[in-house]
Amino acid sequence: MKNYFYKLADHTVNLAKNGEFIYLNFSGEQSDFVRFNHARIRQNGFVEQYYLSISLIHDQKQTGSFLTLTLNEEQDLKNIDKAVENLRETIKEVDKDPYLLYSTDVVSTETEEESHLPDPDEIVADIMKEAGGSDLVGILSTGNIVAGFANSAGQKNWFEKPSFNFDWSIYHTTDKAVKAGYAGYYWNSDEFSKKMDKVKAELEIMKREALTIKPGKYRVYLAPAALDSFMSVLGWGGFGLKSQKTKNSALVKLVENEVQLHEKITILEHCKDGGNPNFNSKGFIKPHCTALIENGMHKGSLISPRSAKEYGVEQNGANSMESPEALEMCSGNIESSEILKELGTGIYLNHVHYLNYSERLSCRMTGMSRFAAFYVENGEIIAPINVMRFDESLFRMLGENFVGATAQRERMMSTNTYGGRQTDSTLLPGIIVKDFSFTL
Amino acid sequence: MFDLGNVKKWFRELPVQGEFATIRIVSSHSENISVRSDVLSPVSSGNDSGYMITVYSGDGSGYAASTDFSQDGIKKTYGLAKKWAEFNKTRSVVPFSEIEMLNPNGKYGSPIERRWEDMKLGDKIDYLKMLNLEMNKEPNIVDRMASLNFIRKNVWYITSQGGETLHEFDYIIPFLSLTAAKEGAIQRRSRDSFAIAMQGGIEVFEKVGFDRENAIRLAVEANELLDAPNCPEGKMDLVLDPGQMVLQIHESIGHPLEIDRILGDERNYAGTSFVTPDMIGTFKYGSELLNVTFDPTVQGEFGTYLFDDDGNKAEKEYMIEKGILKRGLGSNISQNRSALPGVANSRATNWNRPPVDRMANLNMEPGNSTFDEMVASVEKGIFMKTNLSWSIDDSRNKFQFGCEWGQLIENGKLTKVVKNPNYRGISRYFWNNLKMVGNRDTLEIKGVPNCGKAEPNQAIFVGHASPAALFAGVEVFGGE
Repeated sequence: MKNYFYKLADHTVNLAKNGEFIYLNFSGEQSDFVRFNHARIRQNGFVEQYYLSISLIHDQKQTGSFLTLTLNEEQDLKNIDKAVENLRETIKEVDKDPYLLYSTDVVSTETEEESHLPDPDEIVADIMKEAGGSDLVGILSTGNIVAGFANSAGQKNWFEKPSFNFDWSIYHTTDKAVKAGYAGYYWNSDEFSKKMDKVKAELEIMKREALTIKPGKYRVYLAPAALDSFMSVLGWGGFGLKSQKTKNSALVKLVENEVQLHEKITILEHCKDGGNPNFNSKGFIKPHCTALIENGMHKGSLISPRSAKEYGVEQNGANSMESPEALEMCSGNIESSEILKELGTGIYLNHVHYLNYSERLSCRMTGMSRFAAFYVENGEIIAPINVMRFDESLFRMLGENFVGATAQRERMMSTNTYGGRQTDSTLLPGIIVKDFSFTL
Repeated sequence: MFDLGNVKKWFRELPVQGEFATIRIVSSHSENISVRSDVLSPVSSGNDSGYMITVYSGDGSGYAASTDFSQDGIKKTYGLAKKWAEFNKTRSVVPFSEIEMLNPNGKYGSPIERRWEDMKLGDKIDYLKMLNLEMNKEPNIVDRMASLNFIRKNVWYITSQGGETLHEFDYIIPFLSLTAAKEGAIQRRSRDSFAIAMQGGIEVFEKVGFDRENAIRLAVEANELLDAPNCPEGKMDLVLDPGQMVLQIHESIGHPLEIDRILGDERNYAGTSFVTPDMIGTFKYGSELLNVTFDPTVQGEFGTYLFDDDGNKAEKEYMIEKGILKRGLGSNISQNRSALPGVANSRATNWNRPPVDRMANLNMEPGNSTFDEMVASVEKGIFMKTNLSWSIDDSRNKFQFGCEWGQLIENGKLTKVVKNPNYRGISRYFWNNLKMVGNRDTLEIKGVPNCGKAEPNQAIFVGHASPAALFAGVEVFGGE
């Protein structure tokens, strides 16, 4: 696929004439999707898709267009020629763009990995064997993911990484279930089996009679997957320069030094592990690490080329939405094996569900407990709890009410497949928070 | 592009024996124009064409999706779908052999008065700039956005046994929003957030109030909110405008009635439902004033069509009548699995995703009360409009929603504006407190482009029409 993209790229960037500049973004995947319910298959299929996005720049103006590729070279070249002609017509009608910024320093890169994935039916066989008679529900996504960039300056970038992501739950009854994930580049039956054993062990606790806790303030442990949900909401513009400058970010008070988090809170955008493309859509190479919050203080923002131009600062490889793609929070010193003891008496949240802001200015989020939420007393799990709504400010959770973070962190690869399989990930510890508000 | 005649011919030449196969071809053209704080963002467009072949063989089914429209491509894609269908013959949770597959015939087109192309690109840009300027006539406005997203989407659905339908959709998704800030206070106002989408042409601008008057009003209201006190806390009567009713209906009626959720398909992602099969036909979902219809026949509403993506004929059905739950949101496959009455709602977002049970147009039927009568009936309460925040549990029961605008109702009159209004409740009880339903004059047709569900994920277009409504004794609260 790389060679095909490069061939199309050579043709397309050479269509630029009379001071025009063209850059291209390519994305695609070959994916098998197998959806499970009651440990049987609900839907299964294969999707092959490739999209080429063309941006034309001339006289400080810019327009863009995307098209699906058929992999028939003659047809694709014809479609590309037509798309460029249409862009030339459109560009006549648009304004000069004061925030136009794209890479002209040629930095070509290639991240390429061969597939180590077994056939999807082998993975399905493993899943069904391990599921046994349990009530398993979930989705397996597996196959190659590719991305590319090229421009008229001669830059070419390529990313290719076949991966799998199995995201599943096992239900005891109604809404009592344990959720888990297994994602990576090598499927290991033994490793999967161990993960399944852990799920089954937690499911035994879910069989105990559930408690309904009263609304009020509780000491809670948020496991990495639960913290990931908070970070995911914060990622909707929270860290982006544009949203911070236009007062749409939930971190405005932190950015403006009205609020300070606990000194042990450090949050980074850390792209060095190669899990996702190291270039952005304008051709800029992402830095290995951008500190966003350091020792509880605002340190930096995700800055797209467009925002950089608008606000007169340096871009830092962020995407156009200025959302994190490889967010990390630094670890603490609580051993994961000691977490129940450290929690003492409180609520253990493995996952949370459907978060949203209840008040953006105070970074207050509401959401629900879901999947394996336990009441813990004196360091011992007593029983699962029935679903509870919480409403709490992240400023307090990571500020005055922050107790500590685990020494071990968990890497979670995105299960998001809207439009296509995403390559984002997070690396997060679990955290203990006091006075966490449950409301309904 | 592709040669439709050849694609049909090659599909029909496939060696489909003792099986049922379908091809769903989706070809769309989209355009996006956006002006933010007077600056035009890069204008973009796109052309997306591909197809999905689905094979049903015995109890198995499998799909494969591709953009390769050659004869070899279609053969290969069919082979991949067939391979998956064979694989799950003994592993499928759905007994496909027991389900009658459909062979529909018909054609649908969005109602269009003035085509998208009839307004030049330059004029559309100027229109968005005008809206930006109008939003800036008030002080304290720090961010303004007006945008238009247009999608022309043609969907052909062809079966191996002679079925053939064509849908030609034109969708318009306008967006109008601003942020105001002053002395530490920050407030947002929008033209019903993302919920003013419709099928049609340029006439949609007027139908949904994507206009100068609303641009000015939003800026005025944002400034009122900046100076307003926080929404009070307590139990009180709540009047919701149609813009917020969209969200209330969507989250606490639409999703819990989806039969695939009731059957457990969504338990790992979107969630399950507090609704159980035995509740259909008897459960008192709401007060006698509650009448909710699944109606994919409303002209111009965002989720209107003739057949769903499994070939079920779209018809208006009462989901809830006089408060009693009548049926679930499930197509022929879900109806067969659950033995529950359903609707024609098997839908996919694009050629690369398989259809599942979705809302289409889920509407609340108007009642008899005027807006003034509803307000006049309230001694102590609040009026809220325009959704800002939404969250609900995985069974679609415990919800918390926030709005952009709140206004107290005291002794039958709208009084003080309040900021950060939120309310929470439990779906299975909330609708029973429906006290008054607005008449047809209060009804508005809305549409949202971002209803997320399914694995792999799909964000689909959904329509909701609703009058304003009054609920008794709701837990209300504000910001910090």
